[in-house]
Amino acid sequence: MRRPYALSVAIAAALALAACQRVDNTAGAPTVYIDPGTSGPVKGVGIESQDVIAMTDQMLRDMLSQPRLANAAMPPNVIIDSEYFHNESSSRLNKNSITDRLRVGLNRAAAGRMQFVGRHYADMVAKERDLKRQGTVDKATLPAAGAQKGGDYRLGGRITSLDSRDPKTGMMQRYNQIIFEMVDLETSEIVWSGIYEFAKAAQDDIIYR
Amino acid sequence: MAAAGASRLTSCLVAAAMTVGCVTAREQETSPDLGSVHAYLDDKPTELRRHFFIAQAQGQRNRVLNDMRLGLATFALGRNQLSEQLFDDALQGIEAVYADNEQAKKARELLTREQVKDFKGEPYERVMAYYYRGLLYLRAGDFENARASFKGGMLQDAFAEEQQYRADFALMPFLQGWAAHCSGNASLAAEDFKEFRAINKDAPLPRDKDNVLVLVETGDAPVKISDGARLRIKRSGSTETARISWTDPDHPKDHPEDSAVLLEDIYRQASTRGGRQFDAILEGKAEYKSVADTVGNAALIGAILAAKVATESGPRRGTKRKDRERAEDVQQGAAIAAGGLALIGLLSKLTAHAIESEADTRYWDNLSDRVQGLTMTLSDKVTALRVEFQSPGGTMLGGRDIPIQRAGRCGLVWIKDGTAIPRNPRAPNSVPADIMASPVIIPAAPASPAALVTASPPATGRDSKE
Repeated sequence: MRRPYALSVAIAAALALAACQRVDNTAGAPTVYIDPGTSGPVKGVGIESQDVIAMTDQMLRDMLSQPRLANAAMPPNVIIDSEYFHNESSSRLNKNSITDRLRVGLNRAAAGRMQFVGRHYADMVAKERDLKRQGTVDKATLPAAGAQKGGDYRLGGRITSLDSRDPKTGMMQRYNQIIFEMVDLETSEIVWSGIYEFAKAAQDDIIYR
Repeated sequence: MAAAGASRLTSCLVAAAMTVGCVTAREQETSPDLGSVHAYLDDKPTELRRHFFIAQAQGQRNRVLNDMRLGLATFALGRNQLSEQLFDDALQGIEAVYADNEQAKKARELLTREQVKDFKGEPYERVMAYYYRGLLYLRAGDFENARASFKGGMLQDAFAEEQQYRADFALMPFLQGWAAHCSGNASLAAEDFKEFRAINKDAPLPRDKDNVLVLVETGDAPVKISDGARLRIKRSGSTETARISWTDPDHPKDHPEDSAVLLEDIYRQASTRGGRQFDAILEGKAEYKSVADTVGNAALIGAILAAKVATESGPRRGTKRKDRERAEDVQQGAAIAAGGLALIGLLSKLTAHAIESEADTRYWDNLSDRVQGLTMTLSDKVTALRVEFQSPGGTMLGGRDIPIQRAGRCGLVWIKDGTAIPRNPRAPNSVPADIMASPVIIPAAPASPAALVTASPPATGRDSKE
């Protein structure tokens, strides 16, 4: 009579303890390289690395097919930076990650068909020119220039977003629109425009709703 | 017989004791590697080292919560870079979408409490994380990202149960408009202020020439309590007002002053969210718990009655043998029934005890209760403002001189009444009660025996006023 009773108590205790044995025994994840052009393990509805790569690749190809930019008799001086590239979206981001990739990609692909002006380095160049002209440093090897290069065209653009939420399901959606424009710095004519848009939707687990 | 009874009682008590304090490993604090933790703490503010140590020990489950608390504390200390890192990390956690996540799945289980999930905060806490990140962008003069941050915050407020309370966090569109104003985008600013005006009809809008934003935070953070399966919010703050005065070196004889107006009541935002979808799951758990408990009670009462029958003295002498045998059969049957019912009762009670239906009550405790503010036009020569706090009855509670932090075309003055450094390095309810009450001791670094050893008495109180 005692044995079955003891057994049942032991089973009950084991069952109760089983509820406690929730040890977080995840082995962890070693560092792995992830292709930045693909969606990684952490995802959201904002602008991510694969979006930056896809949009800059598309803009780059589009810009190189524009004859006024890429096939002019005289290679135009182009300024590509984030100074006039505005973020009006709900995504916090470093705009330089977009414009830098665009400039580097264009510079490599253009092969001399466009000349790139590093306006974001203007201060650095001015300081060095002053040192050379003051005689503090020698004249180096390149011939002296009358002035820093001016720009023929400069990149402008805007990032905007439209967000929507469904309170019943917790579904969130964001439409992102990024426009790129190349502006003639004498006439303000827009000589090239490109647009990249995408929308993402996601639903968080119910424990967060 | 007495020994057997004692043995049974002991087994029952052991079984019951084993189920008490059923805490998952995720809720415990770990002991971080001392070498790396000391290297990590090296550049942290001295007054926050124990807090950072606890953040390391509590790991991923409380990562966002500790980031928020420490982000605000370092923001108040003027450690902008560190604060940026902490809020960026917090927002990364908030923005990560938990779909098919193992820990999220566990939190929905019957025998697991909601507390095991990674903390993301309630909407008001998430909005405030975006708010402070936005203020850091304002301090840095990055007005576009400041606006994006405030806008991102507003989106977190879109899930209130009642339509009227959805996306009504007026502070966010106000600051969006201010950021757009500072970046020179008048049309965007007008759009944002229109959105603000639709929520708040009283607070004055910034004038075109305004170039300084003053934000004054008063009161203590809303407190979360678990009302059974429902999460409730309590106000713990008072209602101070703020008067602002300054001296313009160009007009030293003038003593201009102004009052901050209420831009946001954080408690109101916390308490008008309504029920969460997850509350329905917790209520289901609570109902199951209650049924299991009732079944347990009924079975145990049945077991006692059956045991009484089983232990009643047998038939008297002189009764017929047949009657005696029948009575013995009844007693034996009652004994088996008592054992069976006791087992069912015990299991039901254990199940009821193991079901976790309490709402998660971890909360951001160094937040404020209200945000007041105003915008002003001040020359660059005015470098600081005096902010004085008053009780609702007009009694002066103290004041401080706060420098204007200018970046780009705008300046920011931010002040919190009271300290932003949490008294307890552990966030409220962030770990089981016994760990909450234990002192926080940073062990000495292995290489240097003279390294820092700090201990604090267990503290459960709230931030003290300065």
